[in-house]
Amino acid sequence: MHPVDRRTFLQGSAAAVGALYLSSCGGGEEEEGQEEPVTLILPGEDVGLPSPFTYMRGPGYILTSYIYDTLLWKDASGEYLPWIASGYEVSEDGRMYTFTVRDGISWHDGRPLTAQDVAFTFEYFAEHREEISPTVIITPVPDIEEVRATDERTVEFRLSNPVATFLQFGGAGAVPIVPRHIWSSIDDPARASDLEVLVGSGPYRLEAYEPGQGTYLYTANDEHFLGRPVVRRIEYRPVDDELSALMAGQIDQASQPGLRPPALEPFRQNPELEVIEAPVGNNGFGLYWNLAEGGALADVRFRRACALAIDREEMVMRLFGGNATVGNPGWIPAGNPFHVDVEQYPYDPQAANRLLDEAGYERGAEGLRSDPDGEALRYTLLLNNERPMPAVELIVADLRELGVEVTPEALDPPTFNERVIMGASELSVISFGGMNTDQEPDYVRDVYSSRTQTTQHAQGYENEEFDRLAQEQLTTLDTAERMQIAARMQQIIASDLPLLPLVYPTSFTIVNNEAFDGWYYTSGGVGGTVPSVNNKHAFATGRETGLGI
Amino acid sequence: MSVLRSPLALVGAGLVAALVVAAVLAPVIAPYDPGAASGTSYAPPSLEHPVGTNNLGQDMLSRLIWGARASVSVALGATLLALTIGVVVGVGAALVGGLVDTLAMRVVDVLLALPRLPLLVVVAALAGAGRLTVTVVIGLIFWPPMARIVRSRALSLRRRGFVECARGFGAGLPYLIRRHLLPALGPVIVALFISVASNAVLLEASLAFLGLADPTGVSWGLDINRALAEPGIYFTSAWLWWVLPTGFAITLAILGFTLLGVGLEPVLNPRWERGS
Repeated sequence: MHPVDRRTFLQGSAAAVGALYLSSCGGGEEEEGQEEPVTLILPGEDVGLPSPFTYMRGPGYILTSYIYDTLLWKDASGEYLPWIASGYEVSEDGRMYTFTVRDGISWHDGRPLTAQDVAFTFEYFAEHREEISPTVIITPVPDIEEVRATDERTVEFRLSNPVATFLQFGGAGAVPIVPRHIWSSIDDPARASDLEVLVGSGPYRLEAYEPGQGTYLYTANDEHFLGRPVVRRIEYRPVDDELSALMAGQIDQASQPGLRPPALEPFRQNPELEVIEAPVGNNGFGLYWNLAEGGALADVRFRRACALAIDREEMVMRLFGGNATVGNPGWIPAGNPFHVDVEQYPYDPQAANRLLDEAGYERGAEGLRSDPDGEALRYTLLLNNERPMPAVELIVADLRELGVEVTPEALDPPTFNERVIMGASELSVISFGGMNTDQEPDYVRDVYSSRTQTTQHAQGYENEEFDRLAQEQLTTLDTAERMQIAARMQQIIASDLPLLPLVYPTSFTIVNNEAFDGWYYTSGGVGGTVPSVNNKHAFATGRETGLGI
Repeated sequence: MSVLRSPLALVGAGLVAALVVAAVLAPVIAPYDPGAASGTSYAPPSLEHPVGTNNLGQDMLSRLIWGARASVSVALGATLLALTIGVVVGVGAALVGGLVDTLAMRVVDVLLALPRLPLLVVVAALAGAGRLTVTVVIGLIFWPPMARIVRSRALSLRRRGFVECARGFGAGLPYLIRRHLLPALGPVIVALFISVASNAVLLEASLAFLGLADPTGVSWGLDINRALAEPGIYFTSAWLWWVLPTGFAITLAILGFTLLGVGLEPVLNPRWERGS
């Protein structure tokens, strides 16, 4: 059967719109013969004013990175290239970093960028740490004891202890450098909302931003140290449905995790479009038990039995048509350098039942089990109603077979987050992202440490050995040694199983190659944290690797 | 009844009857358990699955039939609740009169001013969106308009000769209500029943469409919500048997109630008949 879909219709209407557009600007053809400047139109959502102190989440960081440069920056290979810094040195003990600031860099307003600006940026972040919006995902590590500009071109950092992430998202690799002459007179960075303050040194300037709309307009900064940016204009435009808008030619990019093969097919067939598949682990969702509730939830045998009883392979097939990977109980997906193989709890209902039988969870009326104290295994499963999860039906059915009764309760996102963070939950299904960036294995600490309080944190979980290792990896500079610590961390969490990552859907970004053909997926994430194909390195240089200067 | 001579009303009655039959006989006529994965995901219509399957491989025909049951049970429960409160308040206010009447009608005024769907969304978000909650809240939303119409009818009835006469002979309030008012209110009540039931079906589907429903339940609104949340649904053919039939089911159910209501109008509204 030939698939009947909206594609033909959409293409038809796109052509009609295009015709209208052409006829309406028939007079403006003065650029004829000249090559059309490269313009990208990307799907927009409001992620705040793209200042380093007010943007929201990963997408906001990307928008901020167009305007502000960092000391180092990543290209397609995942390597950190010298960017504002032309080079750096590290002391033997890993506590002293000396960066040389590249000569001839200027701010958008023409003033020169100096080592004083770099030192000021880190001091300013430290001074205003409390006021910076909690939606800002990149702030320098708190272990910077002193930062000092020794001359116009040299800046020194002294850390209180070695920090494994300082050259990445914790400092040089991702912290946006801001001009001292603008921010030194601003007391509350979270309130600065004027476009005028957005003076950076990056390849793009922000021309327009509509708060609440999701529209942003960037134009190229021809004075950038890398020369004239290849992409001349970047426009963010909000659309209802990214996939349809891309097919209709309204935007040049659409992203969708876990898109099924048949839904992906029309995009693969279109010669103008390219489907970029990200490495496993850009996003996922997991089943959480709140260990603090006690009873069976605090019993690792019960949690393991649940894991064995849930058919995650079926979720991959049913929900994503195979375009996903079974979640890893060790969190870090295969393919990440820190990943090690851990216990997987493959679907085995018999083993699950045996485990509960042996642990004294007996079946009563209608097959419902009770714990050894006689408490029936009846739980509420919290869900975020803005992220529809058909997976829940499969979880409920699988656990029912095991003799565990689960009643789903869908909540609006603020209530959901509050309940989860406050620990007012029994079971919950929670989504997460970025398990395959430079943040690993530190992200494992963030999720499983008993000292963090995010929506994604392992609820009520406390393991002293894990907490100690999690701190230790952060101060271990030797990669081999850090890998060993990370391996032990993954073994512990897979064995204790305070949460079960269910599925990691494959991330697809579909791009228009006619508009621009330099797209690439940044290995380890843009800024080491944001999995995205929107890297200003590509937009500015048109290259995959290296600076070309 | 003269109603049944109107072809519109006949079509409406037929649709409503089909809806009720599907709801009552769901366990018998549905080919599969609507919650069970009985086929492959996204299977197009075939002999085994006449309307195809959804993403989880659940049989769409069975879900349509069981969805009728969800709609009808919510509609019936909510309408009965609204009707009971509405008639009690309306008749009571009309007969007792005075301060009670004034008070009751001011309360009705306030409640009528509340926007329905937003109110429902808030309540469902706060109190959970179980079927019982939804039924009760829809019932509570629709009693005020009922009370108002019943009251005005009862007021005019109270002045009618046979009622005055019965009162003159010393008939008590309960006797009056049972013997004279309720029978005379019958047609109005039937009309109100139909209009509220139709609204309840739509509201239940709307809430579920907004995601405010038991996520493991079966409901037309929930099916559409699921389908539209499925990434790239319109780039496959699955929307043809996932979105369309469910949308049709909702449309037909509402259409049935509406046609029936329009067909009953001449009977229930004597002035309308005279004018025509």
